[in-house]
Amino acid sequence: MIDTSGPHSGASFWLDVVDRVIKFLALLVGAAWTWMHYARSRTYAQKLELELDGQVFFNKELYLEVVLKLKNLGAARHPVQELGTSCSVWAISRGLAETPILGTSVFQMEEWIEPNESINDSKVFRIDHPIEEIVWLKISLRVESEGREWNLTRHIRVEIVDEARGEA
Amino acid sequence: MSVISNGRPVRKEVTEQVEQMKKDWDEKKRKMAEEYKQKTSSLASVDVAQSH
Repeated sequence: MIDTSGPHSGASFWLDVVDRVIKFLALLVGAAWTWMHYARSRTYAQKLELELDGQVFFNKELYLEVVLKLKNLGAARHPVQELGTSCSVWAISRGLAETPILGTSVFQMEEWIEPNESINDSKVFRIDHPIEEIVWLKISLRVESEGREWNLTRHIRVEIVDEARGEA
Repeated sequence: MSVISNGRPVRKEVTEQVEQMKKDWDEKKRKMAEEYKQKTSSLASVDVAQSH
């Protein structure tokens, strides 16, 4: 049987207490650091990469081809929502006035995007607007999901407008 | 051209605006398809009339 009633038994007890307190504090600091790292890195927050490319061409009338890409850079599954998600086009005239031309749903074939997955969509439109008035087309991709929205806008110069004006 | 973002809180007025643009475009597409159908059928009638 071990005798614990020696002169150092009190010191041993307090050393044990201090050891436990230090371990507990280290655990708290570690948890706080992990939480801070998790919160600041927003690993599971929705993070998207939006990509938009557009091209106009003239064949008796003005057409617009749009290629859209969406990539989920977050670590959680991202739902694709039709409400509020769209590709919209405006005509910009010489006076820089913007006229809404169209808006259409995009990525309708998808219900969600897995982490690191990307989805694509492609649309072709006939621009039903007096071609002599158009200098740029403004294309906007808007993605809406679970109370948040993402936007990307691009302007396409309608270079062919002078040539087309003679034929229109 | 691409952008990476965590997004921003939804602006409901923009949601309503884009949904209205979608409805307008669907209606416009329907009219354009009807016009095209009428145009092509009238052209076919002309072809038939000319061939006789």
